[in-house]
Amino acid sequence: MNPAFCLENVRKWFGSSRAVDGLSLSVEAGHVTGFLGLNGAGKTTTMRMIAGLLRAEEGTLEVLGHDPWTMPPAVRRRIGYLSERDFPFPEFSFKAAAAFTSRFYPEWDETYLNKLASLLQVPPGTAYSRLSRGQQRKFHLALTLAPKPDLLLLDDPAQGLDVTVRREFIQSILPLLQEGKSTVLFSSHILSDVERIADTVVIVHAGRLVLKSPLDELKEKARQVIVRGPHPYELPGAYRVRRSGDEVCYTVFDPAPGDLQGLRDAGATVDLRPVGLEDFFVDVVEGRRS
Amino acid sequence: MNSLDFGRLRVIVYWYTMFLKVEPSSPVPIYRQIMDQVRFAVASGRLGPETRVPSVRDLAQELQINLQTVAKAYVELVREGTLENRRGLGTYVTGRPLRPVGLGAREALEAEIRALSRHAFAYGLTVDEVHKLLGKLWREETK
Repeated sequence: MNPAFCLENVRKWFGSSRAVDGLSLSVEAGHVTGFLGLNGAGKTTTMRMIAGLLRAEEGTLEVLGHDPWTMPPAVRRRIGYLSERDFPFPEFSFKAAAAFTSRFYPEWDETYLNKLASLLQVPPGTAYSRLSRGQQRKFHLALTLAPKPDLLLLDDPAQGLDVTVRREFIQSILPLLQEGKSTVLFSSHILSDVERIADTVVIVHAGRLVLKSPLDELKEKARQVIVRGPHPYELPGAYRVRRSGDEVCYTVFDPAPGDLQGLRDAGATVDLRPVGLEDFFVDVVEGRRS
Repeated sequence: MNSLDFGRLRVIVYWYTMFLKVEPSSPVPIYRQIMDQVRFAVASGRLGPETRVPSVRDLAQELQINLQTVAKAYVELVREGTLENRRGLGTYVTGRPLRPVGLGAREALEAEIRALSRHAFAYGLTVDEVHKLLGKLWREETK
């Protein structure tokens, strides 16, 4: 598969704040990728660079075969970006916003837009500022999806929605994500949403890539290894090591059988425990922090 | 497709998805949860041979999960012979006897039994009591 975008050693600092600090990441076309990291890990900055709204200071970016900073408008139109911010014209109704947005797209599909609006139940005549939070996100999402982007960047699409609205929101976007052949990169702090929607997860921390894995593989290979007793060596490749009494808990991805056997041969008790995405994510990030 | 067929398909879909439930946050991959439940439904006779199962798209929609995840579960179930694709007709239960599961699934099961043993021990149950209980529940679940 050819990559939808590819970042190599990309850096973007804001003053002394290292938002993105040597990030290398490549995402294949057609995948739905969950983009995970703490606040300030560099997710938004990365998305804005991919969308061509910010310029990287160092490194190379290739998005749909072009440098996003200099790409021709025809290619730029194939990227959809739902920012975490509010829609910039709060007095616009959906109808007005759609009419405005359509001017930037020569091949605007009015039928598809109407289908989206009815599926997402966006009221056509009400000003953005007078909609509920859930309706505002759907308003924004419908506009982002309308041009049928090949690459869809969703920055925390369900942010600020309460639990019932969020569920409804996720339910309404799922078929849309699967309908097209879009490549999707979406960030979220709600890991159970990521688990429903994504086939791949990317974890970033402090502006760098920590892990990229198909979600199924992550669940099949991420383990907490609990070792009690004689300990001739530390388990290699651990994301986090915690000690309590004579017990050591290693969070690892795909531990090598030889390493485990070596500990057992030395007389240690070795237990493997599967880890869910949320626990694994916390361990990876906490391990990086300390 | 006439309306009768459509109605029948709907019934199958609803009946089928009623007992399929996925837990996205579980450490068990979602495709594996689907596989396990379909295998169980077939083994226990709830899904008889020649039953048509919902399309990948319908099931993904019902369970509100990524289409690829359902597709992966179906591919695996077809590969192992539990389901089969019939060109232009859909996916059906084959009715062939289930083959024992692979090593990965066995390991996962072992981990669950290990956890269960610990719980039982912590609650003060003896191994005989656990055996008895397991036998009773096994009979209930598989009859």
